[in-house]
Order: sequence, then C-alpha cells, then structure tokens
Amino acid sequence: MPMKPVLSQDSNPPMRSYSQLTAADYIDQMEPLIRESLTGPQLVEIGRLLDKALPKPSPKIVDLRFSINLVLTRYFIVLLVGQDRRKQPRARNVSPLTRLGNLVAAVFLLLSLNVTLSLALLLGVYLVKSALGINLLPGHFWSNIRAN
Amino acid sequence: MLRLITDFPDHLVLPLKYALSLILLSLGWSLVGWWLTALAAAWPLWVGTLLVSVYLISIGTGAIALANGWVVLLVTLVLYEDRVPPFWRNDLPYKYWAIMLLLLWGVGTGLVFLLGIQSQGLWQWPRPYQRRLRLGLVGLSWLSLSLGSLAYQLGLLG
Repeated sequence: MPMKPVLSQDSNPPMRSYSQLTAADYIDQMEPLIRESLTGPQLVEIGRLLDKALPKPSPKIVDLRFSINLVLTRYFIVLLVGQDRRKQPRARNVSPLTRLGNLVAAVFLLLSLNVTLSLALLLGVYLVKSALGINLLPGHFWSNIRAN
Repeated sequence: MLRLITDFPDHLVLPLKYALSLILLSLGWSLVGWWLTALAAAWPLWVGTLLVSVYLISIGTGAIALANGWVVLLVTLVLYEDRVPPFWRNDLPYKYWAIMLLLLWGVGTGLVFLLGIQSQGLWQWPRPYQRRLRLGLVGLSWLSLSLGSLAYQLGLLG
C-alpha cells in the first residue's frame, strides 16, 4: 500500500462527548465580553445551575455498541446495563400504534438475537464437550438426529 | 505499533503492519480454500463465502456480525452432515475432530475480524484509491482461496 491516508483537515482537538462536558466547558463558550462583565458570585451561581442541569449518566456495567450494515441500510445495536438512578418515569410522547410497533420489532429482534446466540453457544459447548472426550449419549449425536 | 527491530526506519513501520495483515489474510483465506475443498463443500457454500468476502471488504466492521453468522453456519453444516475430509483416519477419536473444528471456527472468526477491521481502515483513503484497494483485497482473498483449493487438489499439505 504505497499511498498515505488523507488525514482530517480540522486542526481543532476532537470535541468531548456530551456526557463528558462540565459546567466550566459551557461557561468557556460564553461571549468573552459578557463573561468579563459577570462577577465572581454570578459565575459561581451560573456554574452551579449548569452543573445541576447537566445529565450525570450512571456508570455502565455493560456498554456494548455495534452496527450491522445490510448494504441498503444500517442498524445500530446498543446494550447498556447499569444502575437505574431515575426517580420519575420517562415521558414518552408516542402514539399507541408506534409503541405497539416498537414492541413487536423489539420482541422480534430479541428473539432472533437470542436464537442466533443460543445456537452459536450450543455449538461451541457441544464442540468443547466433544473435544474433552465427554460422551453423554451412545452413538454419534448428529447421526442420530439425521436418522430421526 | 509493530516494531520488531529497534533501528527499523519509521517510514517503513506502517507498510510493514499492512504487509503482515495481508500475509495473515492470504494464509487465512488459503486455509479456508483448502478446507472447503477437503470437505467437498457444495457450490452454494463457495458462492456464499465469496459473497461474504466481498460484503466484508466493501463495508468493514459493520459486516462483522453477519459474516460471523456465516462462519457459524458453515461449522454447523459440517457438524450436522458429520463430514470429515478423506485423509482423516476413522480410528482417530472424535475429540480430535472436535478440536479441529474449534480451531477452524477460531480461524474463521479471526479472519472475519481481520478483514473487517482492515477494510474499515480503507474508508479514510481518497475515493479512487479506496476502490482500487478494495478491489485489490477482493482479488487477494479470492486468489488465496483458489490457491488453497488448488493446493489440496494437488495433494500439497495433506
């Protein structure tokens, strides 16, 4: 591969993600003249309110994100597991039909994923069992399945 | 960064990394071709494998999940049909065949990840080069697959 890849033309450092931003980051974006006009206590109070308003995501025990590209369209799959800190139920402004559609799609996807993963897992367990020389049933399992 | 020799020139480090990946890819695909021929795979499985290689090379890491599904399907078919290559001695305990299948499954999965990650890296190249490099990768994969198949038919490594 003789050519060098083209690097990004943007010389600015990469932006931090939304959940990593602090109150100070937002205050830094304030118009310099306005910022200079604010007194110390005012800045502290603005910082306190911003800090209160900023989301504080719960640390994730499992944070699995990947995408599946089906050529014509792409889907992303996210699996997050963490402590639930929410005190109030999440507001959902979706129609009952949309909610039903989401439920059907989610059940279908979960079942498909479950069946696929279970098959792969069973296959792996069966091979490991055979590799260890453990025979649970007489004869050859797959021959018996095909015979039946 | 791969650095086997301490006084290795910096401008050659990146090509060496690419070269090692390409060698691994060639060996992996040759092994796949060798085993598909040894197990007398039906033509739809060959076509499927070729299509999966094109799918992986054109998309990158987004294709890894489905491509792994194809690897699982191939291993399942070998198990279900209870297929062993002609050179495999019948008096060998079944556990050796299970170990071999586990190894092949591992090689298949590794190959899928390697090809997916390497193809993903091509997205940062200018478009005309990207197309040529992807075509080059397809060519290399198919050539290695064919060479592996030919090696089995000529009785090499078997």
